[in-house]
Amino acid sequence: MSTTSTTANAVPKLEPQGKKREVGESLSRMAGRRLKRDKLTLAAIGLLAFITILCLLAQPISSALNVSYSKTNASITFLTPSLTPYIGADGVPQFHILGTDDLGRDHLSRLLFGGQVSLAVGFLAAILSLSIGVSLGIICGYYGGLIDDGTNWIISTLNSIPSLFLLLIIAAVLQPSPTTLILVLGLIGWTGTTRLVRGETLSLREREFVVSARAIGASPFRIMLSHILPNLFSVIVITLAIDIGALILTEAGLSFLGLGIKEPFPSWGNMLVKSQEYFTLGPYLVIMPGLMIFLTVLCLYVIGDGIRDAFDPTAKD
Amino acid sequence: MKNLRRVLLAASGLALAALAVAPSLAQDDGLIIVEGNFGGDPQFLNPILASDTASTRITNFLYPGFLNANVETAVISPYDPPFASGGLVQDWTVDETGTVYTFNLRDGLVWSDGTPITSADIMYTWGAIQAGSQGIVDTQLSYVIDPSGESGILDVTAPDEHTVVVTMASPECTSLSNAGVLVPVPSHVLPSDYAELNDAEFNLNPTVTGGVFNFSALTPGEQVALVANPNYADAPEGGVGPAGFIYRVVPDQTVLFEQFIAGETNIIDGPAVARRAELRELGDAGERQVYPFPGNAWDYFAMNFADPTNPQNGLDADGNLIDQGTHPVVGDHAVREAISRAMDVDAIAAAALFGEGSRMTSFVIPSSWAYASDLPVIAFDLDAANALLDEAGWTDDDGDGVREYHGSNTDVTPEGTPIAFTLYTNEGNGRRTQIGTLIQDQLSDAGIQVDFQTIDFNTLLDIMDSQTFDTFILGWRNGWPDDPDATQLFTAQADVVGGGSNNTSYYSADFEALNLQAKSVPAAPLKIARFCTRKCRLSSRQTCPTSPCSLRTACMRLVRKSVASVPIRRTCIGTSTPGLRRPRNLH
Amino acid sequence: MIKYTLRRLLQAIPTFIGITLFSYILMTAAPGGPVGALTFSPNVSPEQRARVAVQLGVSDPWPVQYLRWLAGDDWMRWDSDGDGLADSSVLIPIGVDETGRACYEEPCAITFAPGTGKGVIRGDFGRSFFYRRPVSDMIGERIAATLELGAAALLLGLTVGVPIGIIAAVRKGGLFDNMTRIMAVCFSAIPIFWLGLILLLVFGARLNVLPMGGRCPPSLTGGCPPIWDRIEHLILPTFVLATGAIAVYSRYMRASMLDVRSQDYMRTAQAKGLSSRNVWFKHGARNALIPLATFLGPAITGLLSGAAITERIFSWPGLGRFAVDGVISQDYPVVMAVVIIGAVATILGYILSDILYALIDPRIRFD
Repeated sequence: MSTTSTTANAVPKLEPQGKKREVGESLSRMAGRRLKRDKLTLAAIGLLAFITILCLLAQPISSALNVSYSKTNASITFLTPSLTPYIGADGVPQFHILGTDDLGRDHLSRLLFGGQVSLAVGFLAAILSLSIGVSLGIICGYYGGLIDDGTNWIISTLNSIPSLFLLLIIAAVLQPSPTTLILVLGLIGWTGTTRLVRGETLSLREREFVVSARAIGASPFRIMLSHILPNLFSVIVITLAIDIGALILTEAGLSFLGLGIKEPFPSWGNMLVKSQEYFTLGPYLVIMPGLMIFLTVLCLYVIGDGIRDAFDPTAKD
Repeated sequence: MKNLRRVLLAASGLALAALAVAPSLAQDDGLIIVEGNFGGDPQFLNPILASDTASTRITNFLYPGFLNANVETAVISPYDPPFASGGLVQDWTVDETGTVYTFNLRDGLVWSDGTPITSADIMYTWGAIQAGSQGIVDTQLSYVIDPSGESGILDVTAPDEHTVVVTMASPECTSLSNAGVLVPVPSHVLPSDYAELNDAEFNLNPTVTGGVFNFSALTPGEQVALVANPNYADAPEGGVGPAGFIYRVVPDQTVLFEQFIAGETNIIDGPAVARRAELRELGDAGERQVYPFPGNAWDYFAMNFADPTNPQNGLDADGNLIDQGTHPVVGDHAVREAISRAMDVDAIAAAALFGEGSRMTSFVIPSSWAYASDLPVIAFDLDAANALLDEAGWTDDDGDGVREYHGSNTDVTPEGTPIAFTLYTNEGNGRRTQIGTLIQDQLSDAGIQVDFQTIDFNTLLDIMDSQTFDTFILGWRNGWPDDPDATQLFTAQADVVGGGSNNTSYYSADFEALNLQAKSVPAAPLKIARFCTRKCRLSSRQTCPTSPCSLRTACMRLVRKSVASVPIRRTCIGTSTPGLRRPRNLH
Repeated sequence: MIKYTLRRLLQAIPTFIGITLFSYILMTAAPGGPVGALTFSPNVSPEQRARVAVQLGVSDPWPVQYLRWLAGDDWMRWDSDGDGLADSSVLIPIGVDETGRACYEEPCAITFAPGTGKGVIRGDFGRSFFYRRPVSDMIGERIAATLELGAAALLLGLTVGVPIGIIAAVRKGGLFDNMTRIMAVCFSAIPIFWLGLILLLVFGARLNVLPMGGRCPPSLTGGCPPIWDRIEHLILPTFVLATGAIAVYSRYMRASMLDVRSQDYMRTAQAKGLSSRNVWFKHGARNALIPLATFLGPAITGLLSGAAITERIFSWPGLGRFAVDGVISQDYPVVMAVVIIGAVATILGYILSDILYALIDPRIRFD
């Protein structure tokens, strides 16, 4: 919660900031202390970081193993995972350590590049929907009135359409590339966050530090940015973790219905859907993308839960 | 390709009846065929309106055909049981102009309510086809009527109950194929006003039928159930073997396959190529019966000859050729030939089709009577492809791995244009996605950059029809028996923006002349038709209307193995069910 | 309460218009359109293809299409001389010319019959482009299957999720608590189609104890036996659809129970010397259930969304699969009908939530 202290310094000294900072910092310190003891959450953070870094290193790893996610080779389809290299026509050994897929492309390389796509869709769409949700939520909660009513109407309208149907319709309009999918998922996923943030803002608005900031003439923008937003930190992190997980699953579900990331772009979702056919030919093609989705989403949910527990002011240590 | 659906139905009727001779079946009269249906609910169980796969699967069983096709030679022939049966026609004569066909109908065939099947039932269909061309009936059979009156069927009359006279606009090879659409329907239970046919209750509840099976029940989203027709005339041993046929909707292909393996269904037709090796193993182990037969489906790689930024029809209103411009990349003959040489079709067949397909020498499918297996194919030769491109001015001067144009024809292809184009195929078809991925990768070895995209089927059709594409991969499934007429695929008259099937704007004066000659043989004796189609095809081959990368998928039909194994004819149609086992969970 | 319900229903009208307008605009903006797939055959001429587009009305601008869907076309195209063919129209064509393009005045090459659609405001959902049947009939054939599966999943979610939540809260930090929490997280981290397929393969194929999909057993006479005779068909899809609900309900119930635990009345009950079972279940659980009531609305949308995938894996003949097929084939009337049904179910779910809330918690009064 370092943002709290830095932005708070910009506020005139006379206001009774001390109390708020104390509450905020002690809560965050307490949360930090709890997190440090929560081995499960720490392990989840570690594993997620490991998966993310591996995926980010897709290119160097592929080059080091002399393999590619797109190079096909009809003579080495369904190669089983092995540390023994395949010697290509050029005589240079290729290390297909997780085997090859139905077209002889390196499976590990596809998993990592597919991971980039899946993680990017999850992270960026969640960040997009969170940005919309948080800013709308703060504005609605702070101002109320017409903006609030209008936003509520949009939210109840969007919420009344089962989200998958909405996604299906939008996915049919925009041919799903990773970019459009991020936009679509981000643009319809914000309603829950808005409601949550709006509620939080409503109660924060009446707290002493906001009232006093208003009293000394701080602009609404400044109040929202430097007084309300920092207090939403835990809500934001929890929502982010859960949303990213849910979005990765949504992408997989859309792939299953034929409306996700499209081949030949790899994503964990479409790799999993496609490999269903290859149960007997290459079971590892089925297991690996499924495992990657499962582990990633599991980590994110565990992290979300862990942070929720850590920030829970009513929980006893 | 034209769908000879009616004839197909006649033949399949035969094959099903033929299986009734299997001794194992005679004892198990409770046997029911259960097949998974990937295509969803049938639209119409009325052959006049049916056009989707699920509907035609069912209507083929429910109604007799008009003509008979010989299951061994795959040609339309007079009634000749057990080789050609199931149709209404006994035989026919053609007048000296080659345009008037007089069909004599078989006597004694009845609908399931006992009403005789007569020429009136053919005339009803003809009336519906005419109403269809007026937009009154939603039928896709109206193509047999050419609005210009230059080809196709001019008129159908019925001088008596057992005679139908079909008058063609001109002597054509396709006359019999066109006449094949005149499938009999039980006119006595259908509305006399064609305006009511689209919404007739009969369409989903065909209470009166006359095929191998009779209709039993349709459970929406779930299944269609048919029961054996006890009075089916063409059953050699006097009765239809299987007691019933249940067509279960199974929307997921993996589940459909696993249901067959687990024994919930007892027949699977054309299973996914990736899993056929598994099934062959089961066949070898004696647990299933596997019937391989030649396939009628093929995939092709299409290249747009014309300028995609300014799509034009092939012909103007007066029938004159329109200048359609030239595609800046694949409009270049050298590029097309280089693409053909840089594609390793055998590798594609091995990887994407798991060896279950083979290379075609032209657009004629190998199981067709018109197929010429001796045609040379363009062999995979990367060096030749590179040489061709170098020579035509496509060289990679900046070393980015993609060639640019430095040739002389800068009116069509501006200097420095990279040799890059978009390749589309429909999302959800794993085989075509694999083919596209392989093509993309193989062409990159020749310095050709392919942007391969899988897109929604409707969107692809829209792009295709509007002729704004560079290249795409799609496929056709030919009717049976095959009618190798390519008028709709490769002539200028079919090159219509927004709808024609010659959407690549292929044009060859030689092809047009030969195609016309091949189609318009007086009285259409089979031998001459065969000769001219072959000649026409040979000619068109020289200029590559589609890339010779066309592939066909071999069909494969599997049934559960049991005691008896009955040899079946080598045909694509035989729904042979000897040794079917009672499916699990059947009550 | 009736007044309150009425007011909520009135408030739903603008929402309803928003939903339909939004869905319709999006749908018609999708590239492709329904005509290509409907006429995908070399035998279909370009004129015929164009005519189909005009007949279906998809060549009209989207506001006209929306109006037609909303209010019907019986007032847009009519027959004034009684010959059975249309001769007058507003906004939409009466037929097509030789090339298949829209024709607004006589004479046309082909004249259509007068419009018969009444529009959705008069209870007519229109006809499916693909099946050319009234959409309401098709919905009627499928809604029972979806309700059956949805109700079963909701029931399972509640009857399993709620007790798990209560027990986990009572035994907070114990083995049961941790086990169920881990299970809940694990199940919700698996893609639902994948879970369905695996269960199908294990229980249907390997163990051979459950059928591999379908709502009713195959039958030569059609029809469906009563539900108690085909429970085995319901087990797997219900479980797959309910996994999400079980995870959510158990977690919320646990949190809610833990909240309630510290309330005064619980301490009072304990002080009175009531047995601990009595305290937990009579006083604790009843009050802890209150927040759960607010979950009914979102639960219904969740089930409908989940149904789209579950129904496909398990070949279940319901609305979810129908909707997905409709979206993919761009069958506008079908998609719109399903969107409306989903929206109505959700709005009713939210209203029901509020009413339940009031029934369980007497402190809340409707105003």
